[in-house]
Parts: sequence; C-alpha cells; structure tokens
Amino acid sequence: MNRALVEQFAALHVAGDTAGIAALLAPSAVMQTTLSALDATGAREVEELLATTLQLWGDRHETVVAVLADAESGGVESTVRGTTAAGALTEVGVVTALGLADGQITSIRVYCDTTPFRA
Amino acid sequence: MSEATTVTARRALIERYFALVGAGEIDAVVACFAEDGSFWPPLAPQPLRGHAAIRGFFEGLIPLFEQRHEVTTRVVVDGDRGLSELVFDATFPDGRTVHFENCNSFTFRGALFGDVRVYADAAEMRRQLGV
Repeated sequence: MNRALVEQFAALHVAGDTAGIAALLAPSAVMQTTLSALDATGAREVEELLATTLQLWGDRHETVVAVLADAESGGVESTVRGTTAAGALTEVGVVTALGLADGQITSIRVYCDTTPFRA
Repeated sequence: MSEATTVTARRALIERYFALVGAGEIDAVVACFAEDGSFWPPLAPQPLRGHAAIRGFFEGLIPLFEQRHEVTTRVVVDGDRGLSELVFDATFPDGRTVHFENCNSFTFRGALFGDVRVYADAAEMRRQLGV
C-alpha cells in the first residue's frame, strides 16, 4: 500500500500538482527542504511550501530514478532538468524522503543542492 | 535468501557502514563497496569509482575533523535500493563547527554497495567549510 502512495506522490510531483499532493497529506504533516530556510507545519503550509519551491523553476522536467517504500517510510530519487527562475540552465539530483502512516504522508524532507538557485 | 532476510541484511549494512565511518575504520568502510562500486560525495563533480578512489576520499575526510558525530535518522530499503537520512556534526581542530544534513542513496549489488550517492546542499556545505 505504501508503495502505491509513494508512486502517486512521485507522479504528482513530476506534474507539479501540489493540490493533488495535499490530498495525500496527514493534517499534521511537516516539510523541510534545503530549498527554503522555512519549514512547514500542517497540510496547508506544506502545500504552500511545495508550490514555493516549484516556483524556483522557470521550466522544469523531473525524471524519477527510483521509488522506495517500506512500512513507515518512503523516498523518491529524481533528476530535475530545467531553467531556474533566474534563467540558468541546470540539472540537480533530488531525494525526497517521506514519513508514512495510515496511508498518508506525515513528513516530507527534500535534499538537493541549492547552488543553481543562489546565483 | 528470502526477501525479508535480504532487506534486514541490507539495512544492517547501511547501519554498519555509518558506524564504521564514524569509527574511522577506512578498510572496513571500503569493504562495504563492491570492488568496482562507486561513491558520489556532494562536493565531487562526478562519482569516485573503485576501492582506491573511495579509500582516497575517506583518507582525506576523516582526519579533517577533531570530532565527528553522525546520526542516522531514517533508513528505507526496498529491493536493491536504499535511502538513509543522516545528520553530521563535526568540529575542526581550530574549533570551527559544521552541521550538515544529507540523504544517502544506495544501490546494492549482492551483499555490498554497488553505488552510493550523497544528496546534500553543496552550496551550504561550501559556505560552512569556507571553500
């Protein structure tokens, strides 16, 4: 069941569908990302933070490399190619680690290099 | 070996690997990798391939710090892939400290690591390291 949940998350993230992801979140979900100094607490804040990080890109093409899931956790490893909002062409590797419980996502932690976004 | 046994063994390999890195046991760290395995640390432009290159990285890293403390916060193993979140705190001999959070991605080859890639914010690491 968790694998299907993580695969759904991955597909929605590739599509940039933050509203769709919000539907997968536990009400008390939390999010941290290297792309923002601010953390999010609660599904609404998580959805907003996801949208904020996606807006760092002018155009964005995400390719999922691997999807992992076990009884409590999941993860998505992907490569994002595109243009930053500042106009720089770039490619970054991203891992999104997920906490899972009761068929919902309870935590999201995004690990990626922010060098292309600091120009 | 059953799937559950394989998952248990692979989780144990990840936990052993970080314990060995923490202990500075370079020979044993390198032995966690397949002979032609690769390791891609966050500040490297491309993966390091083979035992000699991986050994060279850890021989450079481990003496850098007077104290190091690694805590694995979450491990996921699914088939031949694994992820492990890590919090790394260290102190240089001059007293400067660094704090990094990263996620290691593992591809297993049998009972060993085939490929390991560390996902981290290289920009933040360079800032803290002053490089």
